[in-house]
Amino acid sequence: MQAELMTLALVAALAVFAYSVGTKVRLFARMAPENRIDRPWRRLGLLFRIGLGQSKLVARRKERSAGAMHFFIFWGFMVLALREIILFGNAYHPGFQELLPLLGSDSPLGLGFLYTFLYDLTEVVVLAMVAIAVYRRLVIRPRRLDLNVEGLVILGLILGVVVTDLFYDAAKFNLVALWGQDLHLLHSPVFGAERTWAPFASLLATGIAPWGHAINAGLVEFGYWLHVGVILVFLNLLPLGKHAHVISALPNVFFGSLGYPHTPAALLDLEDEKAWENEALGVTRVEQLTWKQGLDVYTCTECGRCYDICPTYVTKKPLALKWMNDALRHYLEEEADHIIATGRSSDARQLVGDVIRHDTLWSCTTCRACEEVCPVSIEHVPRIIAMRQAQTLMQEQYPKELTPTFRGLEQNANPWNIGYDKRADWAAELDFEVPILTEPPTEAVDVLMWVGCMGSFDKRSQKVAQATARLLQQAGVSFAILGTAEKCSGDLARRSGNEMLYQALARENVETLNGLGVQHVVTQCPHCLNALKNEYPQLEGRYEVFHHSQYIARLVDEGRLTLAPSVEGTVTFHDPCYLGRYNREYDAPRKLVGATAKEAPVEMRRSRNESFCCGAGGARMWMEENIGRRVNEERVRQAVEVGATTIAVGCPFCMTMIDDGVRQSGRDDEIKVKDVAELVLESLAKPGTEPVQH
Amino acid sequence: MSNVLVVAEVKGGAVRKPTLELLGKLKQDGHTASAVLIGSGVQAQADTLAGHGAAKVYVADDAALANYAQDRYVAAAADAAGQAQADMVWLSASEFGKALGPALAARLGAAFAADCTDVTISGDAAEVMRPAMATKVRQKLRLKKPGVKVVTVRSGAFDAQPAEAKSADVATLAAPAGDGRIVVKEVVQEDTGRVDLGDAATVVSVGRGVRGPEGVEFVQPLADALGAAYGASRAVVDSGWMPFELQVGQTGRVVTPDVYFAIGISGAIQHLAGMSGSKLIIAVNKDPDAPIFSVADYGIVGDLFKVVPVLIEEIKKHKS
Repeated sequence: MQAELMTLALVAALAVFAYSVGTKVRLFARMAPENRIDRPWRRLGLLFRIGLGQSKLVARRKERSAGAMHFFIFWGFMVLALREIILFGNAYHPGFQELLPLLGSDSPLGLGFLYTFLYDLTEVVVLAMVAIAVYRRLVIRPRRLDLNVEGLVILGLILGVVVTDLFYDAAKFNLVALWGQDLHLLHSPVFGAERTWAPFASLLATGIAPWGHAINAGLVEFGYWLHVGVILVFLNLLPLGKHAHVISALPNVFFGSLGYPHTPAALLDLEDEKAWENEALGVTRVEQLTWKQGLDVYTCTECGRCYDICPTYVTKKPLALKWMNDALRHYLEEEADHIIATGRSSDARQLVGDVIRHDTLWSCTTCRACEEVCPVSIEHVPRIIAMRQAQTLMQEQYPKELTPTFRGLEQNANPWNIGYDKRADWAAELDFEVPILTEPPTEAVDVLMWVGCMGSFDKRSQKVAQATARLLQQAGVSFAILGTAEKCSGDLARRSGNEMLYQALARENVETLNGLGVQHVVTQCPHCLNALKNEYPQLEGRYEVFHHSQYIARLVDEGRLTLAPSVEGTVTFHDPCYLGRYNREYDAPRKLVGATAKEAPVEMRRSRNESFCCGAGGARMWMEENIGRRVNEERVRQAVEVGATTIAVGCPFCMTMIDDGVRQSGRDDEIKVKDVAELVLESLAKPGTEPVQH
Repeated sequence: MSNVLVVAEVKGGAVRKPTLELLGKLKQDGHTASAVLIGSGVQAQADTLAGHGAAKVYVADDAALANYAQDRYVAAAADAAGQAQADMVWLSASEFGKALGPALAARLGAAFAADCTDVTISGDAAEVMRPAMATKVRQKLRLKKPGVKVVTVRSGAFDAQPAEAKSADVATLAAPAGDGRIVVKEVVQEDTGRVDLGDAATVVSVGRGVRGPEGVEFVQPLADALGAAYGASRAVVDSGWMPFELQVGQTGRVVTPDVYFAIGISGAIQHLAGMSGSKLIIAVNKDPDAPIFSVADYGIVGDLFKVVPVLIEEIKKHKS
């Protein structure tokens, strides 16, 4: 009877579950393909670290308590999953546990009993965690969480799972101990009975013993079936809402991006006339997102870690990533039938415009902070770029301020349309000559100095280029520049979706660099660094690229530059997104800042991989910032908080934005903004002085 | 000596400066210039054109021409070109000239060159210079096709000559032909009540150095005294002291006036991109290292709150 009932329940529940999940799978199958099963061993690594290790949840200091809570619930589920197998198995074979390897009464080392202790403890821990979770939602109310019924229902179900099992166990213990019923518990001469190993259920048993035989016997039956019911309802509710992550998070982590922090923007085939006709360049329609991007939005639990970390959300702009996920998921749900049936979404609503507002799409600075903190490896930025590509290439719907910038890049390969012949003028102010590379370098040239548009044309950044050149010269590095043959790396074109302009610039640069046989490049601009290092390989441009802070730090290590701290006051380093989060370099610039500051440098509350963007990334430098507060001013406030008198930067765009923010705050007399290369140049030791250690 | 017809562009009831530049060039080179005025209530402008060197002014003045209408304007201009027996027709390369020029050339079966920076007429042929390949090279074209030739010329390429007081020799054109298939119903322009930045010969812009809305008001009399348009850098607009429409720079308006005053503007590259094409740049800034001085023709290092009143006084003195 028990077995038949269980079979009925299981078949029904699993059929519904298979149908819900199957619908999603059929939907994903209709979305753009993408290979996410390459290098499986490295993917398992992700699964262990981010998934099982819950690294994104517990490693962040700011979120450690909430992260720990989740860690215990997650591992609670892992431990209890085995318990469910045992319980469900009991319907078919009383004493099912005895059949399981290593878990029976005579298991070596008493593993079966140890497991009993483990799950008993786990149930109480999960209970406590659920209580904390409810408390957070109802009393603490962190800003990143939005209270909703679904969250509370899910917590209620988790509570139900645990409580029903505890009562089932407790009542069962009473039936065995008080009324002598044989209910197939574990028992062994060495380890005793199961009850000894389940202290919490045992305690509860003592509590409910006075209720009498009838109630206890009823509780065993009722507790068991209620438990089974709750589990099956839970299973079937999951795929329907935001808690689908319970099912999809581990796969999503496994299918996450490898290597470079996220999948580089796809190199679009711009010669493909069909693609132009079908509006298949970039993402115009929701089904043009890849299946992984589809899985991403179903995996989002709306935990809101991407809220607090996002420079645009913090400054009150319309981009809130968890709501973008939510909007995309609802739109996918809406269109699922149509997409599955025809392969296309209906024309009822436009993806960009109706579902995702233009302001939202263009707010993103592509700083990647959201991806850095997302516990389930959702890639937010690539899909934003993909949608911008469609907007720029085919709809011509981009912020109109970008027009002169695009024209400048087209005509003179710099955003301001300054005559390209003036590109190397900055070098004329040096008291030595910087050679211009015109033929393949011989052994005599160690490294090509890639100046970038800002270093070439912007007065302030020219000083950084000059400082870098002086340091290279001082250290006896033989280097050269491309002179007027250098063009914008194309980063800003690519981030603003102008793939055509990006490819034009990048191809010309690759042709120049490959033609000259360049192998090593040093640049002061992290955006150029990222393009040359991570994106030019798509176009057969492969170079070893250093940020100037990395290269200079190496020169200091090798003893070719000696530093004596000279910078007075409190120094703090502002991490550029494209150096830090995009290229994982946090230490080289800090090392230089530390070696040049007289006092030990301080860290802002947002630093390293959680650094706060200056507001210029993602081509935002070239757009108006009319909504909300200004990102750069917010960042300057954070520097003021820690009492900085010098803000060290490592990116010409950060330089402009932070400098602007300092002036806007009226503190330009108190706070200096300096590039790390300038700090190093100021602190070059005169012969005979010893560097000071902090 | 050639016979050239200039198609006059009228905006807000006055002939626009680029038209006068074309007449100035023709006068300078000793060609016979005539002009055609098209619009509604434009007759009064004929004397201005005559004063700048138009020997004869053809006028198509009709209510149906109040707004730009492609086929009617083309018909009127073609009519004038025929009556004037013009060897060439010149238009400025403005939105107006860009729309009208090619259509007119097609109607006349004429050779056409757009966006020229110089025109030399020699005998039957005309030689023009124009930027090409995205301004990377300058192209010299020779228009050899016999008969009339049409060119559009970039504004600022030539200089207008001083006006003489003259009354025009007016020839009235017949009522406008054309079926009016394309009708501009209305032209709406935001009324700022100020001199438009794009058209102004003189622009005064203020930067963060003004320190607040009071500073913006403080410098305003300088713009008024000069009859200049008043603009601002991004910092001033971001602070909400002036509206975005008045922002000069990369993401705002690009201006190329004869004289540009940068008051309290340090000269970030984003700003320079919007004004460095100005003919004469005068900067006032307290920081001698401010990048604005690298593009300025004249620079005053000093506190703008002290310098500006002196400037205003001197300008007033000079005017009276």
